[in-house]
Amino acid sequence: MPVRETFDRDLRHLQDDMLFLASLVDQAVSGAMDALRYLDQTKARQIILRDAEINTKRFAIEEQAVTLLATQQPAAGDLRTILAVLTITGELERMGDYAAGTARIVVMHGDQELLKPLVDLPRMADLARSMLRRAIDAYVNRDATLAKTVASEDDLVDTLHDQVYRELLTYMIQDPRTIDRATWLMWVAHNVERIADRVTNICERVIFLVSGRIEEMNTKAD
Amino acid sequence: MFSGRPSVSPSAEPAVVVESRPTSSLEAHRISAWYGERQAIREVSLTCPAGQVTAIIGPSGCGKSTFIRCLNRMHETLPNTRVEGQVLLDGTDIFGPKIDPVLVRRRIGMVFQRPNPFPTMSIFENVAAGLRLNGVSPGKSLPDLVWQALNRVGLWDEVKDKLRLPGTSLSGGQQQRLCIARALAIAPEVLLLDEPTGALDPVATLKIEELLGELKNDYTIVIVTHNMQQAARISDITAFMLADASHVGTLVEVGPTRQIFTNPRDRRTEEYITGRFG
Repeated sequence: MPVRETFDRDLRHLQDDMLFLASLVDQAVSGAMDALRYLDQTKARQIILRDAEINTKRFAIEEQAVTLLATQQPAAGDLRTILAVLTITGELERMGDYAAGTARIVVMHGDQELLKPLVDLPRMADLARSMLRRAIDAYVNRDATLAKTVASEDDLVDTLHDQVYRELLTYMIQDPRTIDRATWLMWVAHNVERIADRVTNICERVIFLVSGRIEEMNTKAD
Repeated sequence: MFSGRPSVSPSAEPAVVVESRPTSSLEAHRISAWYGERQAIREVSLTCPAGQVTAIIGPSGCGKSTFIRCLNRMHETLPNTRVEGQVLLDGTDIFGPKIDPVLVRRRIGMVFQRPNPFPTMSIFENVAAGLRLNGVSPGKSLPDLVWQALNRVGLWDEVKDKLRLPGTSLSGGQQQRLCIARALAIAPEVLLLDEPTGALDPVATLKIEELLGELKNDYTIVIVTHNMQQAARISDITAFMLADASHVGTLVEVGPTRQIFTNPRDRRTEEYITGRFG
């Protein structure tokens, strides 16, 4: 009989559930940006509602992980896997919150139009989503090199964030009537920027999983 | 023979305490051992630092018990056995030509898996026996030394009113602590434990583990255990042994316990501690 069959199966389920959570979050981020682009209130409300599903999934994964810790006393690679899953699911859940936050900004617009056509914000979001997907690939393939590459791309997101921020500030200075809508877009930019930061945290966990070393990838103040 | 309570009142502040003294490190260099023609371990080298707990883990038949029995010359007490290599106790080879193995075993005590109190002796006599054999230093009294040893293992309060009962009347966990007290009574520098909780329930196991945590400040401790969580809980250094293709035990990896259990360097260590074999 194969040794530790049950444990291997449970460990697989745990990681499959985490990958499912990652896909839910990716969809939420993408959906929130679509909702913003077209100021689609219906879609925005759906995303806000679906955030509860993400939260529930996160807690279910945590419960599975805690059960494995308590019943299997994992060590070495198994222990690092479960610890990585626990951290990564936390990061994913917070990303879901940022997506829901963006959807709420869509709702706040009511019947007002967007301040300006979105250019850099969708680019930021695309980049953050690409980072997320590749960080998850790095996890699946236990690829620390890819994790480092992905983490380094956070600088690009930060640069775009600064650009968006300055642009919106210009709008506000030129015409104070735009302050509300510009501030809302600044919040969206902040949300996306934080999503990328959390992807770098995931990359740190991948490196920990592979090497056993905890390396700080995101060196700017949190 | 001692009867009744010792002269030192257990309720008073201890007038006599176990002397704190520098502990001794134990270094095994390329130890090989044989039973007749069959080689059991090959060139195992391991340093057990003073005042720390070194755990030896590995599957059955990997030679860990043989190895630990070489560390105080117990292996050679069996017929047709042989040892090669060096074991340095504070720099002196215990296999040296002028070394008396009895004295070695006095400095390096041993506790076994099954508690083995001397069956015909009382609780008191179990601890006193080794002291009588080795002689009590001038200025020390036998009852005081017995009290110290029983107190050190946390057994005094449990047995103080039944010191004359047979050692075998105690529970398994108490018997094992009695055996540790017996080993400690003659003031060894190193304590070797071969699966000391293998026959005990979880509560008795926990008491022994707590005790080892307290003792390590005063003794160099080497423990063989099948229980990996136990090794992870109580040791500072973990050594992993494995039998090779010819069934001879070798040392695969040794390192700080935290590293061995979170990020072992050798694939075989990883596979063993994660339960993929063994």
